[in-house]
Amino acid sequence: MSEYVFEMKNITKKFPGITANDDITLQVRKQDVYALLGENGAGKSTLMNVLFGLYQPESGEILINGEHVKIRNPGDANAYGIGMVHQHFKLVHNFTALQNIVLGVETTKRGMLDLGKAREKLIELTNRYQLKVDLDMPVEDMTVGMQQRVEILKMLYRENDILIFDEPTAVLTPQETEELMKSIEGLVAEGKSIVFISHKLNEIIRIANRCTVLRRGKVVGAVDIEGMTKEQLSEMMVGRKIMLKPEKADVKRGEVLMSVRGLTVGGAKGHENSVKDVSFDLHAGEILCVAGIDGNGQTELVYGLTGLRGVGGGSILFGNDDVSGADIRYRNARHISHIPEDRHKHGLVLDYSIYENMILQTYFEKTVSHNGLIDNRKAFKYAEEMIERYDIRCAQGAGTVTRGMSGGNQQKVIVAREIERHSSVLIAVQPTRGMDVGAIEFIHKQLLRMREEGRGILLISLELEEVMNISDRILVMYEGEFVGELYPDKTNFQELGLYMAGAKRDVFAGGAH
Amino acid sequence: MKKKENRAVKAGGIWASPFMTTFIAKIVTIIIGLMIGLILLLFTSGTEVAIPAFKTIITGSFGLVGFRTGMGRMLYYAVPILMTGLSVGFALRTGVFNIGAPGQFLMGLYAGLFAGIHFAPALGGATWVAAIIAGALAGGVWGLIQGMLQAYKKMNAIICGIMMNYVALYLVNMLIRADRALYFGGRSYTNSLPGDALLPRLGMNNIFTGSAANSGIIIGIAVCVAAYFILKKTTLGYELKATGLNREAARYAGIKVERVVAVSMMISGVFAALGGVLYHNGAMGQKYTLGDALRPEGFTGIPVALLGSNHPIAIIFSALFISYLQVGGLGMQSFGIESEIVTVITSITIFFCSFNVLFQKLYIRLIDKLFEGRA
Ligand SMILES: Nc1ncnc2c1ncn2[C@@H]1O[C@H](COP(=O)(O)OP(=O)(O)O)[C@@H](O)[C@H]1O
Ligand SMILES: [Mg+2]
Repeated sequence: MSEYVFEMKNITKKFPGITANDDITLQVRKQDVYALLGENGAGKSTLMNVLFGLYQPESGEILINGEHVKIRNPGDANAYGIGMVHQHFKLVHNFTALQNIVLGVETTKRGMLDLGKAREKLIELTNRYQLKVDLDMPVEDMTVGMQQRVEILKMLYRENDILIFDEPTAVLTPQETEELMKSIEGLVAEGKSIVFISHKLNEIIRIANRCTVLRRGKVVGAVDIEGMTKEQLSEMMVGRKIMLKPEKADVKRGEVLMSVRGLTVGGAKGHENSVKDVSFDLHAGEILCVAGIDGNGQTELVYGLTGLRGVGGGSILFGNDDVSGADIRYRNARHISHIPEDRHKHGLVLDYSIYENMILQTYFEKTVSHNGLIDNRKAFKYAEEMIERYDIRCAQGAGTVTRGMSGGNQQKVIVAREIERHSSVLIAVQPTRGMDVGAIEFIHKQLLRMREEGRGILLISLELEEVMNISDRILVMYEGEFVGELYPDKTNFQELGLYMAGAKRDVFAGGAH
Repeated sequence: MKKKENRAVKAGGIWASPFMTTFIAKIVTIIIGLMIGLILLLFTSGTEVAIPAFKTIITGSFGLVGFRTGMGRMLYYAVPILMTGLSVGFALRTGVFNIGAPGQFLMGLYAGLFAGIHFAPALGGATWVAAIIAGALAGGVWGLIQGMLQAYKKMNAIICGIMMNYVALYLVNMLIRADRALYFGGRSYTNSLPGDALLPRLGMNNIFTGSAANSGIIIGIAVCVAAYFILKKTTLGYELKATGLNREAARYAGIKVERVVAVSMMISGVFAALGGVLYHNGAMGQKYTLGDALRPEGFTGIPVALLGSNHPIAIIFSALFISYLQVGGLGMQSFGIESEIVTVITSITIFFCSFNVLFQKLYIRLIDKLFEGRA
């Protein structure tokens, strides 16, 4: 028996115009949780797709238990005990969990589908690995977390021993992430070997024992996690020092910029109010963070403030100007910049180019248009400037259609646009979601710069670390109300967590003292 | 995918540009449409008839009546479908399906007829201008009503369009019957227009002898260019396209999407109505026949728009092409074949337009192969 359950040696995989994997070697032992770390586009998924038989490498070899093998397709991979949970799940939406899992390996009795045995085996697996899955629920009704557990069950049902997870936590809430970590620990204890792809350092330190870092298709190094710090790992990944905890300048909190009183916002059609009688002030030079578990009214709060949804009651004051009844354009043009939660739904017209997206709220203003005609050349020039300043990577300059850009760079387009509109207040909703550390650092720097300029930032975030690192003040939202007002230097993760879970609450006027 | 295309631009030069890719893919669709049409002909009429009949479609009527006449007829018949095609395509750019083009076409036709007959005594040689303006106004109002029902009352676009079509049809019948100047009781068609109400021919009758070609096609193309300009350069065009591409993002940007949809339908209505005027006021002796059926030009706008990818300039070419086939189809009767075969061919072509992305991908792959290693 070899020391390694599998080895990939000197793998090179090229795509037209790019070498996605350049002479990569990866050796994984039994019961490893082996992390693949790298920025977006580093080649992690490609490498694993080679192992899974989806891509054929130009050169290099694969060994399973010390023996040379050729993996031509996922069927071969499966035969060697390799399973993969893809970045984007591959489930049939109107099938139940059970149907999805047996798909392709159905058991039959006299030519008829017989799921009885499969069900028995799956119930046994769910119990053994503590995976909460409703076998008869259609996938489309499931939370993302449960869909992922279906994918895991699928691998276990096929008796795979090498389990690949491609950015499994990107779509999960912190709670679901924690559950996944526990599942992975259980799997390893039962003798499985795991490859865990991520660019989130916390998770890698928490779960992995060994790690290979990729940068631009090349191996930067393979290290034991024990004794590594986040700083060291991030430096390997990005190739330069990263400030994980941004340095905050001393900024004196200024006058009140936005004053919200008794704000009530309705839920989705016919549902009860999602934001209930909420009051708070946002000051100049302040990053005020609304923390909370997803779905406690944060989205609706933002909709109410920005005008995407009408408010049920209350006022939103900028000085004497109550905008609670004003339309979106009025609020946009006068007071509010908004980095939206969903950049594809709201933030960008994906089939518009960068320069067209850069003028999304200002296309009619004198700066880029006269007499109803848009000065495309001016807009183009402005966008080129933004591309330069915000280091937006794109193939064809300001004319690049945003649909073809990576998520991180799309987000930078939005961030640049919203910051440069110079509104007094910025509402930023999960501005760093899905970004890698380099991009996160960059966005945080921009927010802090705005703070120094004396603008007010309302940051809605699900990431506790982000909340603690850059906010000046934290309001915890729970079931549509503010239940606590905290200061990052006087609180800790535990306390914050208790408030977020609704286990602790203060009676207070929502920060409006 | 995008990446790949970009690279292809470098490797394949002009051959791999997005324009070429779309263009070639459309040509392929057209060829497939024609081939299936030929097969249908072979099945229904046997080789002796099918082959020469098919040849007539391909050569248009040029083979039958000569180049000048054929060309003129193509231009003449292109005008109405050019405008309805522009109408449908323009609305689609805002994400609205304008199934109401036949009704708007009819409103334009009626208004042109009304103005042409009633205003001629007062306006003389300028009557045709008044007719065009009247048609545009009528179509604009009709389109706006439909647009407002769709945008503000959230009425289903298909149902709303069909309803507006039939309301227009019977309203026009009623208005004409009530108007002694337009209509003598007992007949099934209207009086024809006075010469002053007709579009200038600009000597086209000398170039395209034996056809009714007139300045309508020039006006039509000018309107297409104007539509292109609106979409490309104006703030309104920016709003229209943003709404069509991503309604939620447009709302986020502060664009009043309901208003944009209504305005888009209004403009779209103007275009379709211009089709009605330019066609009906285009030739001498035209009479509108009262009846229970909507005229086909409005519906033909849909394939014209789709074949032209909703692009105002491309629509000029797709209208000319479909008109070319239709004129050829008119010559089919001499073979004892119904001219509907042309409708079948255009329909099949349109059907294959939905495979356009596939054809484009295949084409890109081919270009990649051809230019491999040369980048
Ligand atoms: N099917 C493909 N065709 C062309 N290029 C690809 C393809 N898949 C990935 N790439 C490119 O290869 C590089 C590595 O991608 P990927 O392995 O997905 O990175 P990661 O998973 O580390 O984010 C990227 O530049 C990406 O654009
Ligand atoms: Mg990936």
